Amino acid sequence: MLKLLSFLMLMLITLAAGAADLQFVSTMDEKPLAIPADVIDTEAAKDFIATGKNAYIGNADAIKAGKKTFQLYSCTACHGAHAEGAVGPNLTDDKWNYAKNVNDKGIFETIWGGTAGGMGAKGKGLMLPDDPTQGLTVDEVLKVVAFIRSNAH
Amino acid sequence: MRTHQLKLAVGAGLLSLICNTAFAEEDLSKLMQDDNQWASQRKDYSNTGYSRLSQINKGNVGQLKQAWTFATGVNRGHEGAPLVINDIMYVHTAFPNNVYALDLNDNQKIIWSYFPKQDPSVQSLLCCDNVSRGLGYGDGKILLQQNDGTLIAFDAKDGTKIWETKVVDVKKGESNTNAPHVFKDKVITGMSGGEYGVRGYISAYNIKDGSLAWRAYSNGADTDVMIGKDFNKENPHYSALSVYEDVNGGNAEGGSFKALDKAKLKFPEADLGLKTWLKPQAIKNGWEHGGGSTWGWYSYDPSLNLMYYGTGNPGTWNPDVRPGDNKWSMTIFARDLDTGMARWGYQMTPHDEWDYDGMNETVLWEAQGKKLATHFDRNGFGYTFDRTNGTLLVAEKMNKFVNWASKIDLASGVPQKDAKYSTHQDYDAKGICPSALGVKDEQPSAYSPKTNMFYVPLNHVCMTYEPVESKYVAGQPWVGSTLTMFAGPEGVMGGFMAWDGLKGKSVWYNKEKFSAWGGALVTSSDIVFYGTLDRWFKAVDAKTGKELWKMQVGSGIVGNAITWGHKGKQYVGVLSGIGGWAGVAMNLGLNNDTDGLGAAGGYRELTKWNAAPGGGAMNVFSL
Repeated sequence: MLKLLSFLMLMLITLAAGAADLQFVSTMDEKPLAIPADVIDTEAAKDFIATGKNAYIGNADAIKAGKKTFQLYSCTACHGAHAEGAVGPNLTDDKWNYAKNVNDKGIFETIWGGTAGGMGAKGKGLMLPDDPTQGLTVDEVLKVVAFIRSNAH
Repeated sequence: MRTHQLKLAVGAGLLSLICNTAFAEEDLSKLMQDDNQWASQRKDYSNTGYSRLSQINKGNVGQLKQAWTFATGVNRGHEGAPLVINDIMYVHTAFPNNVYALDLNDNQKIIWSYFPKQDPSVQSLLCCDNVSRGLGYGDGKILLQQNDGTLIAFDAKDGTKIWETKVVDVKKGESNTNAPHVFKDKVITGMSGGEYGVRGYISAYNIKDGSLAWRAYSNGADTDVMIGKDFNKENPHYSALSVYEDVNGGNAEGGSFKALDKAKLKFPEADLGLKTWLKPQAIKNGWEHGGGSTWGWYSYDPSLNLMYYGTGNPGTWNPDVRPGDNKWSMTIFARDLDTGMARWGYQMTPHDEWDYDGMNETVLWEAQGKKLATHFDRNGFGYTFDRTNGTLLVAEKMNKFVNWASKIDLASGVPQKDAKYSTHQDYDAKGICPSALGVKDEQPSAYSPKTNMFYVPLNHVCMTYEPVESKYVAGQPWVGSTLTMFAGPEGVMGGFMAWDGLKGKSVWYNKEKFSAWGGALVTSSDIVFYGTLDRWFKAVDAKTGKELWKMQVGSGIVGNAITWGHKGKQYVGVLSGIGGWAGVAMNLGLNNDTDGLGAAGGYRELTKWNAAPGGGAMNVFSL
């Protein structure tokens, strides 16, 4: 029995060590959020999935691209042109509906999987379940986050 | 012999069915005639919000006291009003759209209730708060139109579900916020989703069994829009191909559409719901996601058998990516109730550049022996039509701050746009009045046949508007513009006025601190009731606008004032529970100085008057 347990422990440690990536959880229901390998499209995306660090924060080009995506997907409709809030929450102050949004992993999870009764999922494959080609890649979400953070005060 | 008996039985069944239908119509008409009842959202088929009850008069209105209240147990915007039928009050709520039947004979005890199980994700499709504009009644049934598109008929007496059907497809970004309206043997219901790239339509269901009688689209081929040969017979120029010069590419920054004279218009043309969506559109066929939602208050004239309603804004809010007049968005339609075929249709804001959604109510009235229809549009003009054929008789600015157009040319019906306030992609147009909220939004006006005046709740808000490139994805927001809103030149955000529908002139005008976002009630004792966002429920003199009485309720009012009689006593009431477009930001907790410049910014001060989110309640007053 003891042997079996230690064997299982060993297995778990090995598994954890093998899977270097972080665990992402849905803001909607706290269930694990799967990020398929094919939407982890750039080095920055891979780095983020492994470490939770968004390399685009403060990067002027990324912020510009993020702004474009923010407009393209009508994020502006609810959150305002500069993410200052309109008919949806302000994303530039220190008040969050979901406390974890203060860090980049948390806000990524909220954008990727959506919220309960609030915003729909924006991640590729989740935005429109019938059409997996729709939605944002990991890299696009990171740039949107960089844009949002650039407006913070 | 057996066969014969069977035939007889079928015959008898059919006869009883016919009799029942006839009875159903008579039942509702009778209830509408009885001022002790409030049997449809705006009191009657004509959408007047007028009652002949006069026990509460100018002499005693100052003594109005709270009779009772009913907290709905639901937060956020409570638009519309309860119904009162045969001593039962039927109360609806914001999402999840609960229903309560209260026994007025037994201290408002709950007779039956209903709690819909809706997928909470539908809330992400409700652009401007989780509102419902109330219930419908007819044929002994209470009709509930849920936000997720489910339309249910209950037995009014005990709440038994009689039939249920699905009106809209939420996967396409469609939802419902409108009240179902019962006209004769039909339930008319619309749809919302102008900010989600929907293709708008209005539907008629048979009240007997919930089967679909007809559905008319706001865009596409004439067969889909249900336009036949007699459409716009008297005003064929309403069916012109284009009402502006250089529509294709002529609306570049710095330029503007120049209105064509009637002599230069090409009409009548068919299939304008296709042809006025010129290439290149943002998507392959612009009209397929061309908006024109139908979430307002509808009216009906039994003598003409015509029903009237307005269609909403074209999709997206970025005008540059949808060249053309974008018909039949922004249109007042008159349709035959039985067949759904359009008798006339007039587009108020061709090629909208400001989200002046045309869904506001159309009120039917008579003057100088004419059958008239009056509509106060978001675009800031008050229109009066000959409702038999759509001839435009009056189109005047409701407030002089309206600046996107100098006037409406009565001969052609075309607004003369001002280039200064035209909007274009990646250009931030400033100082546009009114804002997208309109000079009036959904909050319905009232009409008194005694004073021959309309009583109109108003917004006084201007905006900046910057269209941006946006991508259509089914079920996702597709807005394509960012805007900021601020108080108009009068320094306040709202008002309330009396309007002469024949002269097209305001008779009296009161400023309001915030938008007057509650619907009006007028009685034969010449008292007008309405609620405000800073929680006041007011009575004013219909002749002068002078305030006669006011009482503060628990939360800002976006509901419509109603009145009824019970055991010889007149009651007035209104739902409170702040929300709707004006209050949604507050409900979501946006109250920092840095928060939203959209509706949130302008209305920030609401948090000094309201707890968030606004709690729903029915407030009832009597002498």
